[in-house]
Amino acid sequence: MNQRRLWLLLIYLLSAVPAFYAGADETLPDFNKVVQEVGLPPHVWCDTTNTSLPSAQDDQTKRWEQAGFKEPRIQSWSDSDLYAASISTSNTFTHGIEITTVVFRSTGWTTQEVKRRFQRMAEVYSQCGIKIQRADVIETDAPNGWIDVDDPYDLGTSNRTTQIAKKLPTANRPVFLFIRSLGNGDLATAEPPFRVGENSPRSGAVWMTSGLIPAEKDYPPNFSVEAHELGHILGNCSHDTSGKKNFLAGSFSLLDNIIQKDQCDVMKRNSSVRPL
Amino acid sequence: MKFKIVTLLITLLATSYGFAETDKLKALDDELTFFEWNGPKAFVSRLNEEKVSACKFLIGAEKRHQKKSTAIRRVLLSLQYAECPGRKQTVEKYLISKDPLLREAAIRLASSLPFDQRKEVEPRIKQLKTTDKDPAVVFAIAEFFQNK
Repeated sequence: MNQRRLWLLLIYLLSAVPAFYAGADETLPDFNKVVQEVGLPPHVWCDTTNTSLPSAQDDQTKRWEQAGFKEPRIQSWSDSDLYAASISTSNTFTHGIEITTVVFRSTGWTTQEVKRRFQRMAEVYSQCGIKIQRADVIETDAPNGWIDVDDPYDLGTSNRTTQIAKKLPTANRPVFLFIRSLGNGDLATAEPPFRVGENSPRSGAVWMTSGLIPAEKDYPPNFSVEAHELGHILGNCSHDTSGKKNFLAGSFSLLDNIIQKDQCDVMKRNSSVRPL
Repeated sequence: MKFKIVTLLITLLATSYGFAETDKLKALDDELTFFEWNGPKAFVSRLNEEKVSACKFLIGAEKRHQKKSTAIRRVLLSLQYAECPGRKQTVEKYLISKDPLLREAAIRLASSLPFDQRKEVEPRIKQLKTTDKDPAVVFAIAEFFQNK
């Protein structure tokens, strides 16, 4: 920098800094007005559409990519996406829960189909006063192309279910994973702590296969398999054996979307369910 | 008169036994279509515990549930643990299924066949190896040849 430029900078600083501290707002003309007079569009200097800056979403995307989940597309469904307006604002909800959902591509699942199913699940849980407040949805390629996973009753570390659960860059549970098939011919399964161990990465995971889509026509009308599986996680329990019709029964003859009061009470005590 | 009463009692007993048997079979059949399933090994054990002929039940189920791919897949996987006649033919039938998960289950079933029958279906599986790109089928074929 030559000497003349240094002098000019010094003169500028000496004149501008005191004006700033003395309340430049009152003495200086409005910047936007000046820009308008010159013919430039206003606010051109603070363009908020600039996408080069990293956002929280970008960070999240990066985390999923680094964990081996290719091309993750992340979206968030709020309660207004999951409930009709009249239900969403109703004050009958006493508890809330947030759910993470991973939808693997090339499995037969779409995020639209998953959303429709989550709306049904949300409706089932509303009878309990439990609101699905948010669902973070990650649509991605399955790590290593594993759209088909092994027998979920095998708890070994080489099992694909264990490996996928280990790779998840989130500790949030419950987590739903939408896949194509399970190795033992199961169509859906939940992994509550009592089954896989509290410290297992699979604890709190729910695996949903796309084989459910054609099979469901034989299920009780409007029955929500997602609500059933979430019930296993939140209740940390197996099937209900009371003989009453309810959502956690283990046979078609007793299966319904009804949640019994004692089941609601147990689920509300789960650490992932918070009082509103 | 006594004879009539005894006949009636025997008929009633036989009928109730028949109903109980039907209920048991219906419950087992429902398990093949229920969304949650403990797996083929557990299912075959249950058939044995319930004193139901595994082969008769599974072969019947394969015919009953022709349009339900979930049930068929479960039957194929269960047949791995029940040495039933006609398994080789079942393998051949489902190796050419349009449903990749049924082809995959057929390959798994092929792995459990006796050595000579396994050898007979091997060329068809080799053929699939070059044409089938489905990930589940590819994986099952790799395991089939690994367990040689």
